[in-house]
Amino acid sequence: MKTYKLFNKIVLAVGILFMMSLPACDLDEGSMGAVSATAFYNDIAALDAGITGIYGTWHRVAWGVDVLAAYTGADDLATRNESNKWVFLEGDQLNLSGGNLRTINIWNGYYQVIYECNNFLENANPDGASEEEIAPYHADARFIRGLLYFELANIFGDVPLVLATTPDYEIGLTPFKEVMEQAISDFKYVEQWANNTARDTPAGVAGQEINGRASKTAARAYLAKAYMLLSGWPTYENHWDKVESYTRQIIDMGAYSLLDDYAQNWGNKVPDDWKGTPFTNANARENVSWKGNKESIFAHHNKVDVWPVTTQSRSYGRFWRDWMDMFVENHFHAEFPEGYRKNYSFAWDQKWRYAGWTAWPYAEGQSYPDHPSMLKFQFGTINASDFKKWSGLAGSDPAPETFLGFEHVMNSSNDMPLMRYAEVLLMYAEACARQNKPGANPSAVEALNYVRRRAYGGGYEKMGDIQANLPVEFWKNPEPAVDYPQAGESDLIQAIIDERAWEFVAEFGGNRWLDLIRTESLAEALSSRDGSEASLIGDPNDQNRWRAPVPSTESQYNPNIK
Amino acid sequence: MKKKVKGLWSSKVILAFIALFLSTSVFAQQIPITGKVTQDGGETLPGVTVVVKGTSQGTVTDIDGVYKLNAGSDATLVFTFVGFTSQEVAVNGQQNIDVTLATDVIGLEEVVAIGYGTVKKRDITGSVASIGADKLTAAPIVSIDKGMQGKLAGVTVQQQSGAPGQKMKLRVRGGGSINYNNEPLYVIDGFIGADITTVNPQDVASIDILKDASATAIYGSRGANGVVLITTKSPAKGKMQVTFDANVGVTSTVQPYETLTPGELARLRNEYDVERGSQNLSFTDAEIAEFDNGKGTDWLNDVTRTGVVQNYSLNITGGNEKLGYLFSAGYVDEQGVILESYRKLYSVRSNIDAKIFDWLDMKFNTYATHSSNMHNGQTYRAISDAFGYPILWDSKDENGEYIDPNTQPSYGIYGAASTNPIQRIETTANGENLNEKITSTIDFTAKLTPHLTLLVSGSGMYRSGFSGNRQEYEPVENTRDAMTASQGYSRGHSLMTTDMLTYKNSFGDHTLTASAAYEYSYSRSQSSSITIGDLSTLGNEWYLLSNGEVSRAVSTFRETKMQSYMGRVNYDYKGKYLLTATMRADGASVFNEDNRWGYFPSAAFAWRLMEEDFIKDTEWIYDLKLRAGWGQTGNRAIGAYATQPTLDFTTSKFLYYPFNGTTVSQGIISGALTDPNIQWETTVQSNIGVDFSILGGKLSMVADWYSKTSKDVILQKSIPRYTGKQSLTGNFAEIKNTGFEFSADYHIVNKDDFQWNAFANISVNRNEVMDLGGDEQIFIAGEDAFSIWGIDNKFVVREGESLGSFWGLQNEGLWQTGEEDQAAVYNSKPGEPKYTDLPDADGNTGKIDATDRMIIGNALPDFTYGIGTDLYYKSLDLTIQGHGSHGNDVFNYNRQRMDDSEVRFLNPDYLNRWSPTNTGSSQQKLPTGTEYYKTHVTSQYIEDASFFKISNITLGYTLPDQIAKSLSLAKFRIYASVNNVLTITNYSGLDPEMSATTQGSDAVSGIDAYSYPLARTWTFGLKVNF
Repeated sequence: MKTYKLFNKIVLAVGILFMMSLPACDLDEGSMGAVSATAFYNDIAALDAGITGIYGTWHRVAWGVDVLAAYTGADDLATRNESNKWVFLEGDQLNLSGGNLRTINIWNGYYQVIYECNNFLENANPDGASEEEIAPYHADARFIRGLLYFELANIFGDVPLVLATTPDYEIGLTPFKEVMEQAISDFKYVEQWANNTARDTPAGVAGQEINGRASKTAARAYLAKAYMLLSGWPTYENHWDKVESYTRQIIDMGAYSLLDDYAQNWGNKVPDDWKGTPFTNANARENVSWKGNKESIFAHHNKVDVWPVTTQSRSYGRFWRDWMDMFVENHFHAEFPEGYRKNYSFAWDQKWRYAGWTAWPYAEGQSYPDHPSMLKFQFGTINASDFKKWSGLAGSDPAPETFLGFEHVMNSSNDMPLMRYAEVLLMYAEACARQNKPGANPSAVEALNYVRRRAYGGGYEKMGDIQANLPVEFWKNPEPAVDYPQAGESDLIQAIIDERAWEFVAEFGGNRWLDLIRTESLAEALSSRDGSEASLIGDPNDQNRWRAPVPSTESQYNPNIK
Repeated sequence: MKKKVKGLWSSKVILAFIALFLSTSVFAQQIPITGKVTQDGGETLPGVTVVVKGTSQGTVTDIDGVYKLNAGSDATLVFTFVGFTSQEVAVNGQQNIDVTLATDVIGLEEVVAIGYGTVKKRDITGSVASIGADKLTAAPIVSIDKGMQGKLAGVTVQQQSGAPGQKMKLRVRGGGSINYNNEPLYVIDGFIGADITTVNPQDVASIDILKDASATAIYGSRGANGVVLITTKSPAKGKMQVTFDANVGVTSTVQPYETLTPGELARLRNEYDVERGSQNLSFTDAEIAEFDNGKGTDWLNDVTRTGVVQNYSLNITGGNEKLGYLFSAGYVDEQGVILESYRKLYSVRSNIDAKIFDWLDMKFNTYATHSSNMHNGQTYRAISDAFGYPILWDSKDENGEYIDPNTQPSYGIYGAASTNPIQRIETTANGENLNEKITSTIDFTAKLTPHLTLLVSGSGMYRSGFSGNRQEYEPVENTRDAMTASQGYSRGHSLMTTDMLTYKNSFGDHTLTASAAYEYSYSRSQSSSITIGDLSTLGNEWYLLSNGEVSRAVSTFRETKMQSYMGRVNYDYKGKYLLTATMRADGASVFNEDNRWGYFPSAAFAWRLMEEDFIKDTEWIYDLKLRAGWGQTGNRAIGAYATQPTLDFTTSKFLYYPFNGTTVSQGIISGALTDPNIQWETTVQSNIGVDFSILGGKLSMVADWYSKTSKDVILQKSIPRYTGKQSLTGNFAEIKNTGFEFSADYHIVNKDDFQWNAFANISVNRNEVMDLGGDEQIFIAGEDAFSIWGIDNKFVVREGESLGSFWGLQNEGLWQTGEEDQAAVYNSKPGEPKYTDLPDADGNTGKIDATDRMIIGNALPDFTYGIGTDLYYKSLDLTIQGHGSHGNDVFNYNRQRMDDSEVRFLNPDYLNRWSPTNTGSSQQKLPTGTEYYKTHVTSQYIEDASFFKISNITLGYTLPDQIAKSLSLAKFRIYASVNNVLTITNYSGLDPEMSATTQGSDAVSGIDAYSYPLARTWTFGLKVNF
């Protein structure tokens, strides 16, 4: 009896025990909640998402004016001695430190994107896909990687050359030249494999198709630029023939051209009948007709979208106007040739400044009120109701108080050009001039004059006047007011380099700074620095000042990085 | 293969246990025994349990204290009754045994939960702190963490935020983890992973906190930070009892932020204009007069309010021998002191005890909650908005409409402003957050033989959440076409089964208890959220998302599993020498196969000196016990999928690009860099303790010393950024906590109509980083920004130093007149802050920058303490509680903000700022010069935040029994209570406990940055028993 009861208990107990232990089987984690890096790219269609991730990361790390901190030492950009502007001031005074938050951001951000490129190149190789299928995608990744190494080398000089995702904690610095050669090898891959009919065929560009991806043309333009930089300080290799041939190829293709209106390189299209028409918020944001234009060889593409999509540009608007992160040096402004381009690029009159800031708190010994402000990147960010007044440029007279509204306070849909056809023309001009081959100079002069004439805009000052009054491609016609040589002008190369300074002022390529150091003419350019500028701390002849120091935190982790 | 071996092992062990212990049953000659049980003073004791030792045979004394039973002539009878010291009497053939039981003054017979079982307090070998329902709910509380604050040695409870429903920061003996959680494990009725913010405090019978590793090792990989065991009330069998507790309070900020008034600010600016040599003054006398007459807004005041807190709890219990029930319902409605912030919590509980057979017991506990809350997170920005918004501006115009900031006067001061803080609160409060959670535990306890018990327990938790919101239209930030609506759902469930076999027997003076258990737990959580833009109407709020275009759809999924085997042996020799040994093996799915299993052993020894002959007769000693223990515990730290190389498309940033300029495509980026071979964090802890009572048990003390070393601490280590990543997660560090705890309870007076008790405790903990895997110092990657823009790392983790070390510039006061030349080196002037200039790597000085940073303070306290007293005089009762902390620093970011130019100098200290004629002032001059505090933490804002707080005073009145009875009530008490009564501190901010840092971290803590203010609450309530 007793035994029977005990048996019952055991059966019941063991029964419950097993029932409740049933779910206990394996401890395999599975990957339902994770995206495996190796499994994700299992077909060609998945590669697009990886490219978008690379571009998205790149956009995000380069969406503000940080990158200009490395270039403020040139004679164009100035900043002010105030609070968080010290990061720009360090550069302006030739005193960049290893603790400069902006150059640190460049370093950190660019390497983050390079990691994404390397990660893509390592993992995005679907089984069974041919090289022809995969290579166009890899071309996109290699273009961005090449572009970033190109910029890192020119900003920092020798940098660690990281081409794989596995961290190397003992890596050393790779010399400038080799980093540039890596960039060239990436660009050459792109030249071979990019598959971008929208940007590489005459029909595509003529149709104003928009495409933000890498193209053979962009690769050629950057190959030319890389060879141009290797031809100057510190490597002085003579690659001018390559510069000429790559730029010539782009010019000969005939797909790209200068826009008639310099201003159309930035901002959104203004309605044709803008005169007297209210400019509503909606069409300001949505009108993208100037995007991907025939002058734009490569650009950051931007779009203001709803949260959390952060694809807008923060290189426009507030940085230049409200926050006054930067403006231009007085001497530079004084030397800047008159004409449409100057009107578009700067405002000098007191009234263009943010009214609220004239009295507080910048009065004490601050040089800022004596500087012209940059208008170039404010275009298209200005509030509708003020647009008409603003577009009258120097001729109009809006009261400062009413001049506060911005369409996108700090976020803009405007694209940010990185490589324009104008630069191809000027690189071509310089390559011809440098080689001084028979027959080269006329081509050089012609290319330079195209840019000059377009900039002059027939002497017109207001937007709209260009289209209204000048013939299509008016810049192909002689313009005695600006054509080379002007009275007293004798050095063609100098004229080209000066033209680059004016044409590309404050653009992301940092052309003025790079031109001054590659030609070792920084000291000369700064010799006419105006007394109103912050005094130099570094000696412009000291070549150590020409490269930004590697972030000091990096050597903390790896002593080989110094 | 490996798994199979484990399974086999477990079933073998269980079979062996069964085989071994079924064979033991001894019978002796039975004789009838009777007797009477009384207490000191002769009163009879009904209800005393009398058991024949080592058997399940027993009875209970009747109304006259008389018992009758049959037992072997050589048996031993054990007499136990709650509140009395149990007594054992050998039968020795006697047939009449009268017994007098002594009052158990220090609760040696009380049962304490130790995880997977209970023991009497006298038999505990580890370090365990306990708190009962009476002490826990002495003051009216809405969450149990508040009830534990200051009452337990070795347990530090810090209220970092005053937001409704916010969990407090709770530490058991300091933190051993750097990036991961240092919070203890919460277990409720055996279910691992309780949410203590939603537990109804009135449901809790006791909380036992396992502190040392010999106690927590039974929780293995989850025991490293201590274990908080919450036991809910069991059904009280017998006639139905009803308890109703209701209280209502008003809550308001204790003190306002002190800032300049608009009039003062305007005058300051005029002074400033003169100082900087400006020709024009910013403000005319007429304008200043307007400000003095009330123009302008005190935003910091206006975003706060007086809130109402309501708390109701109903408890019904009863039953018979076979079936007992307890039902409870609770409702808490807390309004926060910041506008629009609230939490509403509805809860129900059902605890059922059933005796299915005389050998089979069942327990079924279920707890369900529904809550609705708004703006109770740490990141809520009301205070930061209020700091930054121009105080010279009015909020609304004469028509009661919010004034568009673009039309506000700039006064030459203010730039483009964002939304009015009050308007923003209203804007973002347009939404709802709902959460439901249900937890059920079912336990079967089968007495297989008199010595062998099998526990089969299953528990589960299900939760769901919904959040929806739609931006309110307001022209400054949310233009009509840019507005969004979103909603998100989440769900999760966890399951846990535990099967445990326990053998208990006595062999003469030897008592042995041995348990073996198997446990499996599983948890899964998932969520989805959708955001839409381009809303065609604002009419559907967030409910119908087809009313716009989807801009974002995200979902997540997470699954973790764990399998465990454990065993515990308790050995007791004559109640004198007590030995406990445990072993647990945990296998977790979050680690890869080679590192999956962790083994966590422990051993403890206790010596009850009181039982030794040489001390038994020492009159003045009431009780004395020594304890020593050692154990190894773990911390899983990482979450699911952390060892797999992953890609990421859940992050909101970096993922989008508008390739064709109009449509945005979404991409994928790399996930975090981790070491696939990551393992458990392991903590080894030794503990020595003494329990000591004197004065006839009136004064009892517990002292413990411990040393706790955490190895293989998982760290998100900063790595060079050229790698493309900020950090690598892996096992790198070693951290040591050593400490001492002492607590004392003193029953000063114990008379019928007057009782007076007092308690005090102190916890001293020293934290030290022993090793960082080769690095001398590291920085926490992804250190929370707390909206502190531009400031780099605020903390350093350095070998030889404590966690929580502030990292920044050392301020040496202000440059003084006569120091112009030295100051000029740093681009400074007299009256501007002077910082220590350390030589950089190349030995250069002459510049203040990142290389000048050093440790400038520490957020962790040297010691914390609590004191309290309670008095009962006739019908009145009074309890007073206090707690304090000593030696901890806080980064007062709020004060820094008030100094800086971006918020336009709100600090009232500017009225007495430094000037050539006021050189004694420590307040920097205006203009400020380079504001280094905008890029680094600077030591003038690191303050000593030591404090002592009287956290609560409660006064109650209980209706005398006769009156209550005449009203048909069992008990009736009314009470009034005030918490956060008084704070004594030198800290200049609102409250030294406030911090915006995450609760899990000790490496990053003590930053008062826009924290949600702690409130003072006055509460009135009543408690009725029917």
